[in-house]
Amino acid sequence: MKTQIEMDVSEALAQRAASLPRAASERLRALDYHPRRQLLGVPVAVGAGVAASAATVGTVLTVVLGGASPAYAGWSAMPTSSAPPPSAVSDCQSQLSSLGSGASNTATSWQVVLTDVRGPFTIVLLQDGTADASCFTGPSFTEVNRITPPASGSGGAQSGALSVNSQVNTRAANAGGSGTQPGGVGSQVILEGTTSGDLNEVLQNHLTTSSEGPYTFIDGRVNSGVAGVTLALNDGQHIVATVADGWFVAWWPGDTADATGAQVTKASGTTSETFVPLSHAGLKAPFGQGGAAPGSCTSTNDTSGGTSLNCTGGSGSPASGKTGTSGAGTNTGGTGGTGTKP
Amino acid sequence: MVMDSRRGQDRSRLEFDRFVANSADRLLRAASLITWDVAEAEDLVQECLFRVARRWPRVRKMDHPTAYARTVLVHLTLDEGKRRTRRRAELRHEGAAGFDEHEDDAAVSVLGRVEASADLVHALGNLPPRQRITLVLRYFEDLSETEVAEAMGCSVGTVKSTTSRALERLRHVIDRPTEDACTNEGSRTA
Repeated sequence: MKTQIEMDVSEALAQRAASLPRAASERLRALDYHPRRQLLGVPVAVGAGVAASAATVGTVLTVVLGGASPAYAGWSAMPTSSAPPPSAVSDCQSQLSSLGSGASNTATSWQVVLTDVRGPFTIVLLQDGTADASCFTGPSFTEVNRITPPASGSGGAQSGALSVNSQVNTRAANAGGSGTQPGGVGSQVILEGTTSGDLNEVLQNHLTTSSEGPYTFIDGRVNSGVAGVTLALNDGQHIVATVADGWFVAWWPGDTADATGAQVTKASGTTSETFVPLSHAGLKAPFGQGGAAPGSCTSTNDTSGGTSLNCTGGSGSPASGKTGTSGAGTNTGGTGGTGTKP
Repeated sequence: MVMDSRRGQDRSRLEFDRFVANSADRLLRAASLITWDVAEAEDLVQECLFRVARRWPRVRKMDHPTAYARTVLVHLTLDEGKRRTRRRAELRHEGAAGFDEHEDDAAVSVLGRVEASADLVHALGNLPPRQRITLVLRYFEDLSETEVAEAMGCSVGTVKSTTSRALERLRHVIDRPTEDACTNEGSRTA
């Protein structure tokens, strides 16, 4: 038990520490503490152990070596870790809890559904029981998006407009500090499934972050028994998705390449499947009849800094469990909704 | 193998960047209390983080990298304590500081206390470095006496005696009766 003088000292120290200029701390965080190293040059060989890996992995490595992009440096076509960096999830939860929008979320109320780690970049999908959210972190940014379900009576088969609270915290070394700005802009959302139905409720977004530029994000549900998904893009790239808890997630730099198919691995073997428009796959549309083109979503920024997302499925398709009672989806890296609640 | 090495380096670098993002502010606050000077504290934390960065491949495997950084910070402070104390004394003598007084006033105004609080803040600023470090680690960082001893590289007994002397000095400055005196006073009153 502390004495009175000890409590007084604690209080005096805490108060003095609280008066510390914020700029001093920001200057410290903005410094580059890494020792300068001589560049090693482009790797020219892959070790025997890696070369002996499965054919799919070999394809991916080829893509990595040959298709590096200046933006999103360090990105990998295959997940680099099964666990996010220690502070990534807490950062995401903390920022989500601070988004506000009338929600009473606390940092701990956001539960992680899935994490996708590619080099220094991590995507975390989260749920809090009433809403979904996504978080995209990189060396220079942390971006969270929370999707509020439509009000009661407006979800389900009704034309849905999701309120997306988007917040981008950019830690830019040259900026000497951090700030909050509206999220990136989503340019397109395509809803697809695969012919076999092994992958369904798939959403693919072309998005952008202010510091790294455009990227493409895809997620969706996988049927039980699906152990692995490797996406085939129309520019020849192959991207290994993260698969967990009935979900798959992947993303890649740039907004010019789309996923056209996937190699789906199950216990019975690996099959190649083709993505087809949602209505052709016999799947149900997510948000009933809205103003956008069939099988697509459009997003618009609103005056409060959030984004409204309007989605429609194929003509006349009834709403599916994709919206269900919540009608919520997850969204990564800006606007445009992706994914759904399980 | 080269790919794995690159990925490992990227991961390590990312982890250090996150470590800096998460711990720089806390380290700076502790350093500012230890040195009682924001500019010195900033220099110290900067040097501390450079040293941690150089040893990060080893530090990242520790259970508590922040504790290691704090220890580095304390040792840096102690190593340069005499020089810093002498320099601060010279600056005060020349009337060039003004900074401490301003900061103290700000802290006191936040406290919203009366004379005793102002005296306490000023007294904290005038404690010898080792005594102030001990108090900061004990009552700001909430470390145990054992943890303080580890951070300062001394025995628990030294921590206890240093803490006791520092508190006694503060009591004397603010003219606060000791706990025992209070108790006795209360008994007499009763």
